[in-house]
Amino acid sequence: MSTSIYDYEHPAHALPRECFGVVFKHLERKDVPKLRKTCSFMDQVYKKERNDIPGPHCNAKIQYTNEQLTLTVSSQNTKLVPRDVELSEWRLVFRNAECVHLEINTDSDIPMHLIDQILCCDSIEDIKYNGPKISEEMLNRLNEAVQYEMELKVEEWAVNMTGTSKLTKINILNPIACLDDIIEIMQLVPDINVCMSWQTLVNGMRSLEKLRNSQIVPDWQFNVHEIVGGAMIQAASEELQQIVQNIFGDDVYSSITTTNNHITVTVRS
Amino acid sequence: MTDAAQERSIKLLSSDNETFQVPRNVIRLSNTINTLLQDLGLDDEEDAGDAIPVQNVTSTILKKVIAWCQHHHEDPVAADDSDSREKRTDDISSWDVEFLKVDQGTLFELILAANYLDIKGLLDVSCKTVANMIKGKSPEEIRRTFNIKNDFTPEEEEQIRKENAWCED
Repeated sequence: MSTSIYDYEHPAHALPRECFGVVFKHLERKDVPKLRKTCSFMDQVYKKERNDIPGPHCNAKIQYTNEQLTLTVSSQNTKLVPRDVELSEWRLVFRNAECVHLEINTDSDIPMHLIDQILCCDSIEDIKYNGPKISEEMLNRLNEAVQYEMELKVEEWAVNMTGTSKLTKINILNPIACLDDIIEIMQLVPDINVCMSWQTLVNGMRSLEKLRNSQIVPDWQFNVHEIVGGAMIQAASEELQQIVQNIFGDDVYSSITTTNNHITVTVRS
Repeated sequence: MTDAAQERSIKLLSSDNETFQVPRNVIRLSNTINTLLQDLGLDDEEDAGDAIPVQNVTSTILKKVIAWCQHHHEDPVAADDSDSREKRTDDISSWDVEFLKVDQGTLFELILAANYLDIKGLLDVSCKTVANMIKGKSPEEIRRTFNIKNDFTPEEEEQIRKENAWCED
């Protein structure tokens, strides 16, 4: 007797893996993780078919030399271009994202949660790591995890960008926030289009780390340029104020000023 | 293609033993049948002989598959869309939309049949329909829609939640 789909526990699982692979490929990016989260079967399908599922892919690689752990992320910007968004706009956003390096001093085994900390960190302090040397096997696992996580991060970026309005645009030149904070800006103020260099972002994170290590909080300016649309400036400034407070706490002074379509965040000890 | 070639037909036998006479130029959309005929050296034969058993497909579904092929067999060959760009799900023709207004069981059986018979167009459009059913839903709503049981352990669920934290509502 041939197997009917009704012999299975539920209809969705009656579909062979490759069929759900096709379904995944037709999902909008923001819906992909939602299907993946429904059950372990879908998670397996996603992992198996991931490379063929459309989306903003990037390549992430961990290298470990001289007790330095280096995470390199490269991105082919043309693959990050969603439909309905002008190509030039996206190239502008990702041109500087071709290569990002995060260097982490390490001398111990790398726990997998480190990757979560790197990529979902609440602050730069979270990415510090001091442990034993890592094995090749661990490095491979790490690479896999990083690749996976970074794709999600880029995906997150793209989803947020997709939802932005072309009327507004922010160019973050000297961010002191980490990636999550920048993404939070976009989530909180979805009508703002944020453009920045990832390298600049990472440099900003390093600077913040030094700042914190020195226990000194000097004047610090967070310049957000090229905002078009007055109503959005006010909304952005309020959200940025909150983000800065979250980063530095209540014991430092911070202010947001908006003039001539510019936002300046000032932080003083 | 010559008129004679267009008029050639083959017989398909469903899993419940119903025979369907199908014009060759219609069933050519099935790569599985094409390959089978070529492998058996029957591609150029006037009479392909006995009915080809399509064991995994019931007569109800095979009838629908043939109807779909009948409607689409003169469609231009679609360009390869294997790049990584997001695919569209809002480009289903009105005929296909009507065609796929079926219960979920039938829809899944159509997908299975399209997959088995390797009919890319039908597989795509039916999977797009499933994708549209998923669009905008939360994981829990998707589970309810497809009667999916959440079999993640709490640890797995937490891990996957972390990995997808960016799309949490």
